[in-house]
Amino acid sequence: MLWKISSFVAIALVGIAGPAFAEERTGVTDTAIKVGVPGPLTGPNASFGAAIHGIQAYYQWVNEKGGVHGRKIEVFVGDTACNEARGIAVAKKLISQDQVFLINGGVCSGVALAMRPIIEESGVPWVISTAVNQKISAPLAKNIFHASQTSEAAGQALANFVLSKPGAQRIGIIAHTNEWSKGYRDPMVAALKERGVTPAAEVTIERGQSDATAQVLRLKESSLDFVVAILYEPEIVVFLRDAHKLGLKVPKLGALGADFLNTEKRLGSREPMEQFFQLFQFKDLMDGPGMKEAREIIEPRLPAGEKVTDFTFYGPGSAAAIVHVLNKIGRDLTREKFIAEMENLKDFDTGMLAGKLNYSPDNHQGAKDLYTIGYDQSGKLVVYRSWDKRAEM
Amino acid sequence: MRIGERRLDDPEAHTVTRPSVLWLLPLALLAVPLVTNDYTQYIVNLTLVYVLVGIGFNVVVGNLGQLAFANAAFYGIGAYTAAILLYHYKMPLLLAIAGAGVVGGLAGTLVALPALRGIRSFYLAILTLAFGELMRWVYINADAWTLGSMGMHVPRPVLFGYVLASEKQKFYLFLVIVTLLVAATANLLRSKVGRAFTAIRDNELAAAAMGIPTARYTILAFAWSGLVVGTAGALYAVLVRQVSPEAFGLLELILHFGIVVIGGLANIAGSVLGAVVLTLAPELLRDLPGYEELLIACLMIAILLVLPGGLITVLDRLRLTLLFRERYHRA
Amino acid sequence: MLGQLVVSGVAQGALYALVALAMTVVYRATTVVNFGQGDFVMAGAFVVYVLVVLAGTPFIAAGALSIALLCAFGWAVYRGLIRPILAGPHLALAMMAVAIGYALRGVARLLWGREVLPFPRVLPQGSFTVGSTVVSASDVVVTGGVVVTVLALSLVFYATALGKTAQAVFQSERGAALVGIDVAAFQGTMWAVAAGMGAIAGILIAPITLLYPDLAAATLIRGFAAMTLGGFGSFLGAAVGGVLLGVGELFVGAYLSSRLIEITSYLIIILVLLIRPSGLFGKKIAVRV
Repeated sequence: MLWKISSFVAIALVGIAGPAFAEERTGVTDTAIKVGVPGPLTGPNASFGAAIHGIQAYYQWVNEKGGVHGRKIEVFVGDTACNEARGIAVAKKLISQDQVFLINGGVCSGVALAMRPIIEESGVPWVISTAVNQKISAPLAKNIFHASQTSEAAGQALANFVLSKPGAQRIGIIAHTNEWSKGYRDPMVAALKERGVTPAAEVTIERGQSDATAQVLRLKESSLDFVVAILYEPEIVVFLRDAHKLGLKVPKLGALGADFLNTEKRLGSREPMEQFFQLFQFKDLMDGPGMKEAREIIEPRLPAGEKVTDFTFYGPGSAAAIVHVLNKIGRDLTREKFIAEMENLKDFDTGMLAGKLNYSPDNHQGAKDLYTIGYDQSGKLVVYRSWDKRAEM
Repeated sequence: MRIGERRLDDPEAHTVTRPSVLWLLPLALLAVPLVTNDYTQYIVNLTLVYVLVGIGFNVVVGNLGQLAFANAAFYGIGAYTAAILLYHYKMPLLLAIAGAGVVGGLAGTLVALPALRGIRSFYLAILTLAFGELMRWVYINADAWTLGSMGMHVPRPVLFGYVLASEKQKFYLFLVIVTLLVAATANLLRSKVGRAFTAIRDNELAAAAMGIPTARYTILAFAWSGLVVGTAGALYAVLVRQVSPEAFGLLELILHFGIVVIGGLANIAGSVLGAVVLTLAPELLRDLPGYEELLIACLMIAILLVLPGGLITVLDRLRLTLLFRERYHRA
Repeated sequence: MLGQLVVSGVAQGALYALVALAMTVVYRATTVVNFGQGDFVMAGAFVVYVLVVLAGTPFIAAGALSIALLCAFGWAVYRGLIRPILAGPHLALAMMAVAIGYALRGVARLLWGREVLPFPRVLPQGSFTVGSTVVSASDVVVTGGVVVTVLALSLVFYATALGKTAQAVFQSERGAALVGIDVAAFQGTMWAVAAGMGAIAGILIAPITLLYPDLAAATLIRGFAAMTLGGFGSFLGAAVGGVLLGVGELFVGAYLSSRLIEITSYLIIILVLLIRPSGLFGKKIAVRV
């Protein structure tokens, strides 16, 4: 018995001591550029997968116009189901099996964090489309670019908006306990503290809870000037409903986890939405002139029956940047050139996202601008830069 | 026909897996890395992790016959223990994995302790359900150690000075650990302990009347299960290198149930088969997103109705597994 | 604040009680613990959604149809999936219930997986204030709905022939069979009733939480906590346990920390099983070896 064990272990150790190889592939052929698009198409967070379909629609439009310098974009979608182990399988498949030229995607922050070491090591360029956690792209990795607003930027934006209300001193927070909420909460609290403000009350609500009575009562007791609600859509609805019912009449600010108009539809009336503002990552309201072009590109090319939500447009902004860069490089396409051109991208208007994308060799987090939307005194939906300044379109 | 039972005229009756198979099979598997790429090797590694999960879970659910919902919790406890030991305490890899197994075993013991007070069958099952969900809350709130809901990043695994950078290198480590634990579990189930489990499963009152201390054996089963599944969790941490609370909830648990029910309850080969089927399924069903959960559930229902012994019984009936079995000798 | 917590807590707790009662019905009739009950709740809500939003049926009719459909489904599940293995090991029955729940969830996810669906506006909107306590109309409707259901069931149980059959089977399945009661038909009916109760709970819960496939998980655990607290197998216990749990969660959230709301049910399960396993009204569990 013993000799069996030892011989077995010996052979295994030899296997471990062997070197590891990494292979170089480009994913570019005469007629195609392979792009990997990972995101959650199934599972409990599948609603965020709308971003993936938005990206696919965008690339389809590019292909209809003739592609990039005679090459079509060949999209490889990978379903991560918002699960780390699956996300790694998707990343490895895109890199080693499908051998894509670059990766454009990433929606769930936890999964993106798990994918980072693998993608970083492989050298395949990755343009993050939707996930917000800023640790995905920091510390800086040569081949990783963040094309959506990071949680760092969002936290700053939350703090800035809240403090731009005159006299706002006592701030309350209601959030989930998951990493998504923390990703917003921590930078916001840090930004508040820099300006000398500490949150006066903090409560949590779990996903799936249908009642926020206890939380609202606690917030009411703290005489707050502003409440920041870092919640996903179902829980925002519950919170706003109970806040309205129990008379929590202070301005409230939400993060990027819900669709503003959908929230109102679910509440069924305008009143709970008064004094409710939400971070807004786009350049204009969905039915405003600024988004018209993007909608014409994306909406007709979505799968049949797919409902359009804010998240549909929360991915393709990155695709627009990628296609712009690919066009600039020309026919002789390599990964090194792609990375270099991305780092040169300045003041790029994606046609969808708020503000412009800006990169440099030391800065791979290109999207820093965030607006806010809410109803103004006359009942019109408006995009704000701060409490009393509207955003110029 | 009880789960795991065989008819007396079944040529498989009174047979057990040949011990030599438990060694030869892994030796043959050493050749796998010759035919895989990084992605397929990763899938193989993930399968190995789930083999352990299935083996451990089957001891409680299959052999002891106790419905339990704590498996994902043991898995998570093992993963977090390994992550904490590697990240905060910079422990050597093998020690961290062993530590995860030990803590998993302790957790199993803890969960089953109420058995001493007479808590059994579905009361114990509901207790394990509560325990499992409680652990998820602990991962999120004990953030001094677990870094809370952000999840923990596990440093690169280093074995005796070599960095295990590629999937192929991790494969060898996993293969050794999985083989050792599978063999140990097979030994345990072949011994008087295993027979006690079966006795308790079939009729606890009778087992007790025969003098078997059923509470203690229940605890032993959970402890062993916790050890094996905790080790699986440690391997998961090394494989995925990102451990976060969301990964160990009810969604994970259905996978574990699927492995043991579809593969075969109270059957080691069944656990292996179940792990293979359930790890490959999402990859093979890639083009049919969303059907997976439904398919696993329907497969489970079909098997419970028609093939309660699991898919492994199909292989048995094809007489394929006769090659791997020998007459049972009383130890 | 105390009054508010009690009022809102009772409304929440009424729903938990309904789920716990449905599970108790199944348990008493077939000794199977239905781990899929949460998904019956979800299914009931989804059926109403489909009928109202996609087929344009008026809400009351859709609700009634949903209950009827779920009843039929419950009966079919019993005859097709539970009865054939009823004589086998308990483990298989429990796993079958688990698998059925997962199957329902799989169907829901397949059809509507990518959206969190808005439920049609069915509950009245307003609220009225008593002292400093706000009582919303939906609180009243939910609590009222549960109370009506419970009363109806009690009426059936104590005053009808079906009820007598139920009492007989609950006391002794074998004895009931010996005196000629069709136990199989009765058990099928009980599964139908439980599924129907799940549908009612779903219809009441969904306007509040919005609809998504994983609705079941939280409901299920709270149902268990209510049953454990009230005493497994006791109808009164299930009802009381549910209400106490609902109020307890809000108290914990308001006075201790909102972080603890989620684990209130787990802690109740653990504490009750360790200290007094028979709960408030349950029969003393025979101490097994």
